[in-house]
Amino acid sequence: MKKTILSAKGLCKSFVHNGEQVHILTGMDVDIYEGDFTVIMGASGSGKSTTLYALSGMDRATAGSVMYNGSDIAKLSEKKLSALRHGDFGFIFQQMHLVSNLSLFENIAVPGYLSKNRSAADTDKKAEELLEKMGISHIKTHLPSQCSGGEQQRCAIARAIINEPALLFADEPTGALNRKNTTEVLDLLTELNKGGQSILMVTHDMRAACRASRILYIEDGKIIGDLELEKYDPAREKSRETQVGAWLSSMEW
Amino acid sequence: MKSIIRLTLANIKRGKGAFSGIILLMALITFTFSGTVSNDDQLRSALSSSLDEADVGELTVFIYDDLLTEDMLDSIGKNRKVKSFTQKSSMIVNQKPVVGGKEQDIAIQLKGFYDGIKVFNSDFDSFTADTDLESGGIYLPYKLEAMEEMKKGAEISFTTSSGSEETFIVRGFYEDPVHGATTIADNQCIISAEDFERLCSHELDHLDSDVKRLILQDELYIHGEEGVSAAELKRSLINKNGIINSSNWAVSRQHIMDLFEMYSNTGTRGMAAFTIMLLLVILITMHNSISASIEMDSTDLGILRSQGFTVGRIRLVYVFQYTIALIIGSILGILISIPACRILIRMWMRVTGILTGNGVSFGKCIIMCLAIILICLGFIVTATRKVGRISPVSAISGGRTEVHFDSRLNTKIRQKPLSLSLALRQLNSRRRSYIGTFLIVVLLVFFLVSIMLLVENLDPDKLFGTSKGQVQLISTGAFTMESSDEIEAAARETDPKAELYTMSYHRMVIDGEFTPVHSFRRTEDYYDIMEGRAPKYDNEIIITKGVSEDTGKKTGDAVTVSYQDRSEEFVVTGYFQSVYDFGLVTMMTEEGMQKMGYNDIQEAQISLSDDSKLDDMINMLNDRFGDSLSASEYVENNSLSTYRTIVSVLMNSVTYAMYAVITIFAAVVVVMVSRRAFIKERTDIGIFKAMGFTASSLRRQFAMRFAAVALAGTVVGEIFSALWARKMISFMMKIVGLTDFKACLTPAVLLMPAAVICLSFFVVAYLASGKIKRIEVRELITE
Repeated sequence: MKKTILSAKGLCKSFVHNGEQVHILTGMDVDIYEGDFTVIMGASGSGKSTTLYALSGMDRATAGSVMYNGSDIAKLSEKKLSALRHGDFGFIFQQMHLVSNLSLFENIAVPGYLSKNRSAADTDKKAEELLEKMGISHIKTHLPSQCSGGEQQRCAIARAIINEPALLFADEPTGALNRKNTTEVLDLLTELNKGGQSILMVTHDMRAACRASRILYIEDGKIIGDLELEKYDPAREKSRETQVGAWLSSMEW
Repeated sequence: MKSIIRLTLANIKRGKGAFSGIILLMALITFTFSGTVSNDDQLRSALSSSLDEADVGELTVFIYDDLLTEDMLDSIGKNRKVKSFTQKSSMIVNQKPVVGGKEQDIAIQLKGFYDGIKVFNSDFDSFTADTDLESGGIYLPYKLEAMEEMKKGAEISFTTSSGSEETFIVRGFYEDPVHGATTIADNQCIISAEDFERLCSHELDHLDSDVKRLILQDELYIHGEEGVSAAELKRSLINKNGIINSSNWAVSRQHIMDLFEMYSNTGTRGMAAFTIMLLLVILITMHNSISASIEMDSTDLGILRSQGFTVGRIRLVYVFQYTIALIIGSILGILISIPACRILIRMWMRVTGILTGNGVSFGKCIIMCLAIILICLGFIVTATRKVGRISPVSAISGGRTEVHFDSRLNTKIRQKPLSLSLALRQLNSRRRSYIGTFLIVVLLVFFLVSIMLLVENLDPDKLFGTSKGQVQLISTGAFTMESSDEIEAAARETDPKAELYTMSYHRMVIDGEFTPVHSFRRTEDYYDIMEGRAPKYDNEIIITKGVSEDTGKKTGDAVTVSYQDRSEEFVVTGYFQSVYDFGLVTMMTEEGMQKMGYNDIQEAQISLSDDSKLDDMINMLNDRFGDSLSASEYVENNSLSTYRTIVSVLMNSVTYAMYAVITIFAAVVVVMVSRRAFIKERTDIGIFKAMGFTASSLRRQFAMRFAAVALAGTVVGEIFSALWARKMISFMMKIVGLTDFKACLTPAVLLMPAAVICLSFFVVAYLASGKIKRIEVRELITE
C-alpha cells in the first residue's frame, strides 16, 4: 500500500484574460505517492504546469484543496508556505531560474541557509557535496551566465534538494536542454528517485516520461489517464518506450 | 508615422507610471519657475509704473529744509546732466508717535495729500476711487497695517515743537512706492494738504525752540538727461554744492526698486538654483527610466528591428513618449501656477506694500518650458543610443543582458545576516542602475542641508545689529553722544556692571560714494566681523565687502569721509557683514561720528547685570536726566518685530514650500526608480520566494538596497554640503548683503535630511514592492 504524500481534491484554477474567465483546472482530484517518480503529461494548454504550480504552492488554486501533512496548503499563511517551500518542497524550473548574481555554490547554499536546523558550515559542506554529485564543483564560483544550460540545470537540481525535500517538483526540467544535457539531467533525477526521493515532474518529452513510475495524463484541466509503471531500468528502455508510446497514443497525445 | 504613433501610445499605456511621473516632475518645475518669475514680473512692472506716477526720477534726495539753499537748487537746475527736477515737502516726526495710548517705536514722516495717491480698499485687493482726505485724517503706508494697533479708525498722536498735541484718525492705507517696503524703516504718512500747511507754518514759527519735534524736509526728484545714470548724477552733485553731502538720503530709482525687490530677488536666485536642481533630477530620472525601459523591452525592440524598424524610428518613439509627458507636465504646471500665483503674490505684498497684478508670465514660462524640453530632448536622444546595440538576435535569445560585476567588490553571502548580505550583493551587481538614484539623493540632500543651514543660522541680531539692553533710552531733546559717558557713569552707580549701548545712523560720502554709516558705542558687539577687527579709535572705519567693491578699498587703506562741510581720513580696519542697505554700509565708533560733527543718537539701551535693578535704574535715569531723555523698560521695536515677523513668515513659507516640493519630488522619483527596479528584479525576487524566503523578508531586502543607496548618497551629499552649501547660500544672499554666510553643520542639520531621505527611500521602496506579497511565485517568475 503506497503512502499518499500530497492529495488534491476539486482543484480549480481560472484566469481572467481580456475580461473573460478562462478555466484551466476544472475540479481535479489527484493523489501523489511517496517514493514515486510521477510525471504529468498532456497537450499544450491542458493545464500541466498550472497543476504543478498549484500542487507545489507556487500558485494559489481558485478552489479546491491541496492536502500535505494534514494541512491544506492553499490555506497556509505566507510564513508557513515559505517554510514549506524551503523545507518540504523543492522546485526545478524549465528556465532554471538561477539567481543571476550569485555563483553556482551560492545559488545552492542560499536556500540551505534558510534552514534553522543546520549551521552555515553544514550547509556549505552539503552544497559542496551536491556540487560534486552534480559534477559541477569545478565551476562552483562561476555565475550562471558563465555556465551551459545543462550545468545550470544541474545546479538548479542541487538547489532544489539541498534541504532534502519530501517532494521534488520539476517543470519541464529538460525543456531548454539539448539531448546530451537532457539525458544527464534525467539520469540525475532517476538516481535521486532510486534513493527514495519523491518526484512530480511535468514534461512533454516521451523520453523523460519513460523515467517515471507513474504517468498522469491531463486534458481540459482534468486527469483522464493514470499509468503505473515498473521502476525505470535502462536495460529495458526500448520496451518501456513502446509501452508508454502506446498508452499515450490511446490518450490521443 | 502611423506606426510610430501607435507604438508611442502603446508605450505610454504600458509605462503609465513613468509617464505620469515625468508629467508630475515637469509640472513641479514649471510651477516653481512660473510662480517665481510671475511674481518678479508683476512686482517690477507695478513698482515701475507707481514710481513713474510718483514722478520718481533717476535720483531722489531727501534733505532737511534748513540745509537746502537756493544755491543748491540753482546748481541742480544748471547741472548739464540734470534734465528736470521737482521739489516736494515732507516732515519728519522726530519722536515716537502714540497710537491707542501707547508709544509706538516707529519712524514716521508726514506729507500733504496730493493727486494720484493710491488708497487701498478695505480688502486691499484694489484701490478706492474715493481718496479725499478731510482735515484730521491720515493715510498710512500699507506696511503699517501689519501692526496690531494700526487699524482704520485708530488715533495717531504726536506733539509739535511748541508742545501742542496733534491727533489724526487713520482713514486708510495707501501704496507708497518710495518708502513703502518693509525693508525701509521710514513710514511716510499722508495728511490733508491744509493740515500739512498748518503744521509747516507752525514749525516755521517755532524754529528757535530747543527741541525740534517736527523737522521740515525737502524731497527732490531729479530726472537725468537721456543716457545719464543715477551714479553719474550723484557723482556730479557730490561735493559740488554740498546737496548730497548734506542730505539724509540720496537714493537712485534702481536702489529704491532693489529695496522693494530684495526678498523676491533673493527668492528668485534660490528658486533658480532649485529649478536647476529639479531639472538635473528630471534628467537623471529620465535616463534611469529610459535605460530600464530599453533593457526590459530589449526583446520587443529586437523583434521590431527584425521586422524592419530602424534604430532611428525606435528612438523617435521614446522621444515622442517623453516629449508628450514633458508638454503635458508644462501645461499642468502653468495651470496650477495660475491660482498659486494669486496666493504667492498676495504674500509678497506684505513685504513690498505694492499692489501688483496676479497673472502668470505666460511668455517667459513657455520659453522656459521649451528650453527645458529642448534640453530633455537632447538628453533623450543621447540616452536612447543603446537601442542601436540591440540586435534581432538578442530578441530570439531572450533579450536579457548578462550579469557581470566586479568580483573584487563582492560581498560574501552569509547565513547571518542572510537578507542583508543578499541585499548588498544585489546592490553591488546592479550598481549601475542605482547610480541615478544615488545622484538624485546627493542633490536632494545638498538642497535640504542648504535650506536647513539657512533657516537655522540666520541670526537677526547679527544681521540687523539689534538692541542689547533691558533699559531703553529715548531722547527728549538734548541726549547726544556728548552725554553718553556721563550717563554710563551714572548707571554704574546703580549697577557697577551696567553698560550703555548707543546706535547712530547717517549717510555720509565715503570716497565719493554716498554710503550709510553706523556708529556704536561698542562696535565689537554688533555685526559679524569677517576680517580684521571692529573700529576702536576715532579715525577707524570698518566696511562691508560690497562697499569694498564699490570704493576699491581694502583693510589698511585710508578713505575720505565727508559730511556736510567736514572731510576726514579714516583707516579701514576690516570687513563686516550686515543686511542693511543690501550690505552697502560702514561702521565707525561713536568718537569717529562725533569727529564728523554728528552727535545724535538714534537708539540707546543700558544692559544690566542684575534684572532686579531695572526699576531703580529707570527711576534714577529719569530723575537725573529727565530733561534730555526718557528711560523705560526695553520692549522690542514694534516695526522691527513686525518686520522680523513678516520676513520670518515669508522665509518659513519659502522653506516649507521648498520642503514640500522636495518631498513630492523625492516621493515621485523614489516611486519611479523603485518600481522600475522591482520590474527588473521581479524574476529574481520570484526565485527567492520559491526558495522559501518570506515576502516580508524580500520586501525588506528590496527596501534595504534603496536605503543603502540613499545612505551613500546622503554621505556624499553632506560632504558636498559641507564644502559648498555655505558658498551657494552666500551667492544667493549676496543680494541682501550677506557675503560670507557663517553656519556650522550641527548634528540636527546633518542628521535630519539624512534620516528623512533614507527613511523615505526605505518606506517608498518597501511600499513599491508590495507586489511581492500580493503576487504568487509563478506570476513573479513567468511574467
